[in-house]
Amino acid sequence: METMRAGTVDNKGKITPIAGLLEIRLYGSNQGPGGAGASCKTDVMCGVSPGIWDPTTR
Amino acid sequence: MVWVSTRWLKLRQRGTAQFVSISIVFSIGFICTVSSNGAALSSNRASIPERLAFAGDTSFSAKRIRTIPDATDTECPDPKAGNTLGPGTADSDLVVAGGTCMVNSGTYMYRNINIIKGGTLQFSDAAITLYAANIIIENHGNDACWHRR
Repeated sequence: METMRAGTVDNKGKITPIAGLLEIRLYGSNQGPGGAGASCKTDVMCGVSPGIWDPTTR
Repeated sequence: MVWVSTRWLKLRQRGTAQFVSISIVFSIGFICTVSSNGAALSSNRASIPERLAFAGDTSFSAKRIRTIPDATDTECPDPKAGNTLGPGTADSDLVVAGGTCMVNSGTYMYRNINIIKGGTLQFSDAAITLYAANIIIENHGNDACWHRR
């Protein structure tokens, strides 16, 4: 399951934030419409099943 | 008698002129030969051939085609390097697979980061700066900004 968490989570679901400063900086030029972006490693659909990946099949 | 003397002088002048011309040609040839061999230079400076080769180096050509090296994949955790993330470079991609990759305090730079099935990118509770052009958390990947206590 894909998850992004900041801090700790105890058994009761209580979240304790981290104290350190975490910076994630995304860099790169704007490719505009039709930009390729990065590709997935798992497969072209990033490991997601076609039924979920393609909105027309939902 | 006068005609013979005049004729002889003309021939002598012509011969002298030919001799001088040939001498100049041979002198130029000799200088070029010595220069190209780099011999007969008693100084310590670089020989002329080295300088010529240096000047002809394509690295100084304005028409040199610059090539961007392909990005290299860095895997984390890695059986050899361990499960701690290295600093990376702007020309390296990071693939997190098959375990937990620990990010400790520091500055990191990668081009593309792919977190794929079975991989967890886990940030320590510390001052961390991560530069990335793209971060993809693929299905069943895990980007955990916390640490277990």
